[in-house]
Amino acid sequence: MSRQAGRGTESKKMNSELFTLTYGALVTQLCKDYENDEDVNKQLDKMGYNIGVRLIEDFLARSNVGRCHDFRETADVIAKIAFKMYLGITPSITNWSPGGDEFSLILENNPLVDFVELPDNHSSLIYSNLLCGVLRGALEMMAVDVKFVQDTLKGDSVTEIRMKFIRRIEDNLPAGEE
Amino acid sequence: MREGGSAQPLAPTPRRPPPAPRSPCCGCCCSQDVGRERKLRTRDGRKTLRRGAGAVTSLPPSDATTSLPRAGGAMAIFSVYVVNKAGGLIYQLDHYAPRSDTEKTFSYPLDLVLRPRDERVVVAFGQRDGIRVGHAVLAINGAEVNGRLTADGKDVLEFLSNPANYPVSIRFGRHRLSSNEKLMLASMFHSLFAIGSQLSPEVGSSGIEMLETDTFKLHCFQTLTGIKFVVLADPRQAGIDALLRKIYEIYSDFALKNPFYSLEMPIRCELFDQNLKLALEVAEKAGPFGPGS
Repeated sequence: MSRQAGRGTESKKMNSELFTLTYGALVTQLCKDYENDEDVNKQLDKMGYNIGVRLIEDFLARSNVGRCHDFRETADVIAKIAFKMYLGITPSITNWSPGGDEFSLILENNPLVDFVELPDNHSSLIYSNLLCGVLRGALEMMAVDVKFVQDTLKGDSVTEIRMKFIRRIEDNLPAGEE
Repeated sequence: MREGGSAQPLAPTPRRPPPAPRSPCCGCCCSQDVGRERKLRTRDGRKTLRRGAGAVTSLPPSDATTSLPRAGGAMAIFSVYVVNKAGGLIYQLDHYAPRSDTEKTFSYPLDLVLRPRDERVVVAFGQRDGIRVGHAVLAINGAEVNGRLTADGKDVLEFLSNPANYPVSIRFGRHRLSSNEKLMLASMFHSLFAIGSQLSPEVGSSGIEMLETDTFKLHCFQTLTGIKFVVLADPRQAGIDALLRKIYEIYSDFALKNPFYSLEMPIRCELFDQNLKLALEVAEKAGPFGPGS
């Protein structure tokens, strides 16, 4: 899935089933460890955040996108470049709020949940919460609220992630930028 | 023209802090780069050792960098620094250091005048044969000195004023920056970088991208996340922009994807070192025309 420097131009592809299995093993182990769906959701979000702060550097190093000037550009880059690069899917962007600070990403198919069914005793588990954490971590210079509002695992037709811009975090900006 | 001191080359005695910038510039940079704050030209007012001048014997230094003189026309990348968002140095590599140390045997009395300065013993008078004023005493009889004390703990000047210790073999050379000095210089550069973008008459300017002297060019690339990659190279070396992007990729691969590496901390990853050295060698071989691919 990631190109390794010095191994030539052939990109190393990994089986996506292995990825689905790995993620599934992760979630089930967390469920056993924490027993409480809310805690599992929080842990997934935290793990996603740590992935996000590292993934953003990889993304910027490989994709050469410049700085985004408004939230719409951010949304475009996330959906059309980032999701394509890392998950191979291109979600659509809809439901912009009037102020332009909230939008929804509609995922037709979510590679994390291939072959997954949520049992009844885990009804409040947000299985793909890792993705919310990743998006939060990648956008670490601003505070964004990322949450799932629709989930195919819970019976909805599509998976919908709602992203809301809250504010810029001045402390995280590089020195010298206003 | 002498530069007021707002930007200095990275090598002079760092113990004396550089004077705070009193005037914006001396006119030597502005007249040539009107409105472009990015390029700062500095004129090195002090005599620094020019590569190849007067080197009598070159001894390999105690660290691992290559110091053999290069064939005429070959380019070199001198060093790489990585600075984190807060201005701390998290990685430093000296790839090539053009050292011309001189080791000679002396008999009593010593015809050089040595004087203590900062924490070293330097030559104050008596320049000859590759030993220049300002060179520090690096080793006595093969054993490296520790500041002003010999390896045995005796004071260097006392040792050299005692005729019983002669004949003695002393190695002189330009002092190497210690890691503390490098840390300090990196954080100073970080501040200057920020000043560079604030001085700009245009909104949204980048910080310092290049610092040019007659012996090296410093290239700096700041990522959108605030990490700075700084490369010091020969002024004729081309392709440094591509090299900086490559170093960013290597960082995002071998440092960030190592789960045991914590962000913003010093990078101590073997794979990062190896791949960085490889990338530097590729860039150097390409010479003044940039890398082929």
